[in-house]
Amino acid sequence: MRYLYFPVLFALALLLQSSAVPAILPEWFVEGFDLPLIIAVHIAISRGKIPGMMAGAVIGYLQDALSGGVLGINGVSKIVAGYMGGYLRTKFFVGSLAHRTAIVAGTVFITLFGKVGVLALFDQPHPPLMSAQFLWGFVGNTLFALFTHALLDRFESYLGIRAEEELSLGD
Amino acid sequence: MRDFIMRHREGLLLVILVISSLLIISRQIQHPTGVSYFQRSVIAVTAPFQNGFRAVVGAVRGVWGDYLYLFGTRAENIRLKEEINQLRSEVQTMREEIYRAGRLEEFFAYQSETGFAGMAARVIGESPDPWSRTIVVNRGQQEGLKRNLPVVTPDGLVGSVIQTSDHSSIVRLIVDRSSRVPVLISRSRARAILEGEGSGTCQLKYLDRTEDVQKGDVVITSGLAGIYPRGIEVGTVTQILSRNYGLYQYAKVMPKAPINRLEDVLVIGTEPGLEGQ
Repeated sequence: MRYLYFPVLFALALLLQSSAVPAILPEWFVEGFDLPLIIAVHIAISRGKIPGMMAGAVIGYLQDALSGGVLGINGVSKIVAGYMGGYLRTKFFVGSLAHRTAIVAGTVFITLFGKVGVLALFDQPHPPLMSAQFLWGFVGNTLFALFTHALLDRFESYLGIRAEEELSLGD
Repeated sequence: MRDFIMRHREGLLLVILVISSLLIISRQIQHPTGVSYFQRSVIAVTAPFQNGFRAVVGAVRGVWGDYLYLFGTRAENIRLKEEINQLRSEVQTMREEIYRAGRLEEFFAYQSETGFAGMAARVIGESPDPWSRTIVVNRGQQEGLKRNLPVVTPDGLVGSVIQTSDHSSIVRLIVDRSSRVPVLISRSRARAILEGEGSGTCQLKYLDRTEDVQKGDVVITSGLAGIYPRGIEVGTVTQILSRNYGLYQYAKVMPKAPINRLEDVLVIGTEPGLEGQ
């Protein structure tokens, strides 16, 4: 089960983001909803830096390939998300909602900031930092990541894969 | 050394992954050689699933409209309601078919009016990156699509093909931040470049400040870049952004094509083919 879990989770996140979410939700909402980022943040917070970075790399590169953009933009930003999520979870107490909010918000902000930075570094078009798109990206993804993290946490406990993963991959 | 690596393995992995990614990005930007094997494979593998997901989402939306509001009514009416739902579902399917047939008729009419021969394609997915505005269509190299072909609807320009795999392609929409389309103001013939804004609108750039542009002006393709044929309607000017300094004025343009609810598009410059939908 644990070996299938991540590929299925990644595939679902990418398919939902590319096919279902834009068909159901309004455009402005979709701009603040980066499901691959949310999954990368969840794995980083629940498993640590290395699984977070690996998950971020896989899902980020797949996202780049599917979006038709420059390969690596989302890859590198989600690798950073994986590292930051794993780093911040060692500095705060994940069990507390306030601390978890700080971890998720910090990780999402640094990821989006990093993505804008990489796009700017390579002279690629990007939303300005003080734009509604960036701010909603930060707020929306933070809220959805908190919700998804709680949901996946329960689901993984139900499947009995959390304990195994934490034993084998924890910091 | 081994101790150092083990102690700093997370930081080292971060540095290796980030530097590798930056090198990959840099190489692609310096040598844009088209689509990599990796990208083509990912698109080819995911296209059938995206198609399936779209169909499921459409069905769920139909069921939501036709069925769920009846949930919780009296038990003795269940059989009748199921029949009603089945009939409604059939009506919904037929309406959808009629709607699609209507759209294909519009495509035929557009082709005969404009002379732009092309192939109809169905939208099966959108970009999974919220900052990128692309769509996936169910036609690819095997059907004759190739990079840089323009994509339209009878309402106006949609974008151009940027990547193809065997049976699906990625289309960059004109509202994407990377999109650049050479255009003309239809009334005054003033030239400009239309850039996407990432949301649902575009901006006219490099429009000489002495040129005549007004709210409501229709913007058409100029045919200069060699990708888009001249004369395709693109959008309408909704706002003039003129300053007291600088060489250029700017304007906001609302695309004519329904960019946020595209279902079928016409890829022009291919062999005609509306069948196989």
